[in-house]
Amino acid sequence: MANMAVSRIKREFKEVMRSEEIVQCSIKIELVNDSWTELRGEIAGPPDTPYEGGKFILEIKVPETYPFNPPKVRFITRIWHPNISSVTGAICLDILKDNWAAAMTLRTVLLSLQALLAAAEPDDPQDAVVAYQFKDKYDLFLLTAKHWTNAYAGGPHTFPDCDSKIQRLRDMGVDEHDARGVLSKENWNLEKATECLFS
Amino acid sequence: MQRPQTDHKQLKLQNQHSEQSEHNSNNGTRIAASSSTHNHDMSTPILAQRSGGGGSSAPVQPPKSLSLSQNNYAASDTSGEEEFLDSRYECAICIDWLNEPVLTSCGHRFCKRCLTDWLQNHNQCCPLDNKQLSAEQDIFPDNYTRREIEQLKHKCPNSPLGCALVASPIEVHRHLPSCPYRRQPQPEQLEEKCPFAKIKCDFVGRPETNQLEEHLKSDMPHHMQLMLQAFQQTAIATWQPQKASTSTGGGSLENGHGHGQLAPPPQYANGVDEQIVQTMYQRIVVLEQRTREQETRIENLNKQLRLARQPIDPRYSNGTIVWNIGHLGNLVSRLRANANNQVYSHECYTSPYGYKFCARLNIQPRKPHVLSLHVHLMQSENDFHLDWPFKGRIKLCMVHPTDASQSQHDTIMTKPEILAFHQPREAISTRGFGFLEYANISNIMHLGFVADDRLLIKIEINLV
Repeated sequence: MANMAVSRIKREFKEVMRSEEIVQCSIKIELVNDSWTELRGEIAGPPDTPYEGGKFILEIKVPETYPFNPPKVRFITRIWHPNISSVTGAICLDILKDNWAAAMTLRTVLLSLQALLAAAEPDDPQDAVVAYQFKDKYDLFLLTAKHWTNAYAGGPHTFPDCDSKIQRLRDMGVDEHDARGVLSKENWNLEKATECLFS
Repeated sequence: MQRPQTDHKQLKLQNQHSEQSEHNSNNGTRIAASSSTHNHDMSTPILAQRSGGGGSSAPVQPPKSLSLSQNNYAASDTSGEEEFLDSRYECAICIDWLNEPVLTSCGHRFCKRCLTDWLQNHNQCCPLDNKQLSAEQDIFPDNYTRREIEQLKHKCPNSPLGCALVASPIEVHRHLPSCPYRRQPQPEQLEEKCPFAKIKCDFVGRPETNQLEEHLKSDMPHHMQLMLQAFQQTAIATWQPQKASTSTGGGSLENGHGHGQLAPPPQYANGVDEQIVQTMYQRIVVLEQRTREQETRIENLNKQLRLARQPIDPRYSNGTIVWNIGHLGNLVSRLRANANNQVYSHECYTSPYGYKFCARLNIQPRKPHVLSLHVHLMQSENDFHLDWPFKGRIKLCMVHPTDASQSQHDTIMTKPEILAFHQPREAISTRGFGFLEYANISNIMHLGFVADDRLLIKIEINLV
């Protein structure tokens, strides 16, 4: 069984390396170790989304029972998205769970994740806070997502206001990532964020 | 042998043709509209997700993009092994030749083993379109496809090595592990060396990845350095001593070479000599470099030493004399030889504008075993504004080098009637104050005050 997983991954790997998307630099995949059980994926943020211009790194773990069970995929790059945990990078996507099909490949998984970035499902959230912001304060969601893309994935949009608020919290001795997380959750309200951190 | 191959080519052509007509909307304009196929690929998985999220929605048809990808995949061969892996004969689960193919009621083919495993491991639906499948009713052996595959004739991939087997892909697959011509230690993963490996770049990458490309981009400075090193190596290797060439130039005349001709390259008795010369030259270069480094180091150390040796300005000694008396053995014999011989310490000031003192050691001829120690006032530019006679406390200490508790302490208080503390009339006051019998020389030696032929006496003079 494990043998089948490895031989399939090898074939899929070649498929991805030859695909059009890799030429367009839209997806990328590379090996982490020699056993072909752990891979590292990279997807580009889709155009016309707050993630545009960012490069998101994914951890892909291939189970021994692959392709009968889905690969375990997680965002390593931090991202602000209703279906992705802003803390752990865990992904809520049905094809990585119950709707997995053996005919799916690494390439289709990466493309699906790219599509998920373009079309969030706030009604089936992984990160409830993000989903609430998405539904209730969409403008703030866009700003936060762009800011995170800039901070973690090399996106082009900078928000000096956010940076200065984060710096204020850092001056109080808060870790940068914690500061960004709490401010994002509190809709960039510095007072509420401070209260949340120090109470 | 020839016929089945042409047959197969025909099959393949037909196959491509049928694909074209099937996916005309997608493939027909593929080159011009590659972005549209891209979008199409992206949209399908969302459909799949929504169907999952909604729960009861009708099964959608995601596999169009999947089958497209398989076509892409089959179009260019993966390795020598599966030369003509045809998408019609490919199992979507193992992405390999259909082995004992079965057909589902929804019209998809899989290996029997793969589909059984899938249905046992997972919910009862088709891996390609999510349609419900019952193991008893919806799956049939596809003997037609099995025969088609069996009729394909493939050469063993080891045919260049001499294997004459020609059989169906499945049989070739089965035969491979026992093929007598298989490469013995089969390189499981080929390694891709850096083109700069010749000049000692030890990077090794995987051919399936773009590690090498990245390496070539990012490690350019390293490669430049390697090239420089290699160039220097060849420069050293091709270097030839001037003398040798002139001497053989002279010899060339005897050998019948004309004047106008260039002197032939120097000839050594044998290759070993040449190698020795080269090695020596390299060694010289290394040694010269090292000498230069050492010289710089010595210079730096000298600088430090000069700084450290600068004596403290006696004005700022705060009335303390730390007298490190070296070569004590010689000194003692010199002092004994003549009663007029005496030795003075360096001077000190009690404060920057205070009294100036020094100390003196001598040996009285009557008591050749005892050192006398006296403190003398000295003339200084401050004398005119100071109060006379000097009033203060003088502490003498003979420091034990290893055991501070054994150090000998003496304290003297001045008295106004002692002439030694009146304003000095000479550079060093002729009258001193101290101990005629300060210390017994043999005792000093005995008790270990002298280490390394040195004796340390510390004198502190304070105003009261």
